[in-house]
Amino acid sequence: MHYLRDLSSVSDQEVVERASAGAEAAYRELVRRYQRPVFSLIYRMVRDRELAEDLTQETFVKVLNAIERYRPEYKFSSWIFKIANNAAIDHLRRRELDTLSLEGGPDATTPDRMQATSLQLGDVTESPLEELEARELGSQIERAIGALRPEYRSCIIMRHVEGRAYDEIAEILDLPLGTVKTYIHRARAELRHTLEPLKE
Amino acid sequence: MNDQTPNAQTPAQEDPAVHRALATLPAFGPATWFEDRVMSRVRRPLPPWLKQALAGWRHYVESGRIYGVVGALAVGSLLPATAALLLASTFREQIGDGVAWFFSVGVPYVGAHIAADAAEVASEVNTMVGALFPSTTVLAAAAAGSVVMLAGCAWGLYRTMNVRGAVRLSRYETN
Repeated sequence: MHYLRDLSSVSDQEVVERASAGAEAAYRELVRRYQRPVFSLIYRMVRDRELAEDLTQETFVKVLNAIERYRPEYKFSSWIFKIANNAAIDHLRRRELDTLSLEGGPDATTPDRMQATSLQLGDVTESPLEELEARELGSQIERAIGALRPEYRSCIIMRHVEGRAYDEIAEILDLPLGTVKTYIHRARAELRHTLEPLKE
Repeated sequence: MNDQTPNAQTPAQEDPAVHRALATLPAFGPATWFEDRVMSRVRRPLPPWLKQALAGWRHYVESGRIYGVVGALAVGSLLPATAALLLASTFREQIGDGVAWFFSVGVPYVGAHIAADAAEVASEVNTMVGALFPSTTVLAAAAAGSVVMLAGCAWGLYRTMNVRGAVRLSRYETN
């Protein structure tokens, strides 16, 4: 009978338990609970709506398909944010490699050779969608966050936007607690520095 | 560096200026139908009772106990089968006569008087069976032997499936 209860008032652990028993409603509840925070984190990391949606979808599919392996002694939110953050960081690393390859092949030493081995891009002007994204993420604060190193970015978003505790962030990012505190401290300093002119 | 930052402090207490700035940021959400798109790619697990049953069977097969179970069933059915064969060979003439009678007389008779003479046919069959087994003592002994043998097989099966110290695999699985 308790299965008929409204799932929105049930704890994460209980919803996961029901999902492990195969209840579709429990799966949907987990998606509903976490789609916005997970998407927001990934979107702020990769700064591309379509890509963020794909990575968010991958995150949920990965989590929900492995729901039986979830160990209830850990927080579900930590687990899903960890997978989301890994997906975003992996993408940023791959993009960094792609960006390097745009400059030309590793053996290219002359400008002609660099041009010959570089990837040819089409129209580089912004599409309407990109313009919209730029506007959406266009505030000074968003730009300042976007200018941070990815690891600082995920730390500061989780601390100040998601309101996560230091130890939880450390667990999510697989970093020592001291490193997380240092990253957040430096990220704040950089943000203060970037946002300072706005006050004047 | 700033490890002295107490974990109990809220983000707003730690750095009010940065927190104020970040608190104004909107929460973004994916497009409509996101939930359905995710659900279409999710494989839902089997119900727990089915998982447990499958794990149990896998355990019996992997541990080789399935051969013990099959062997016990084979031995268990050996005595009744032997008894049936012995009886059939001892009374093969009577059985042959009975079967011949059944098809030459019984079946046409039943066909002709299926409704009206059903009781009479049953009585005839009863008489025939009585003729096949002249001694009730032999019958009783065979029945008792079969019951004892079946009970022994059931006990053997129970011991095979519940060996002391054996742990079912399902105990290791998380719910």
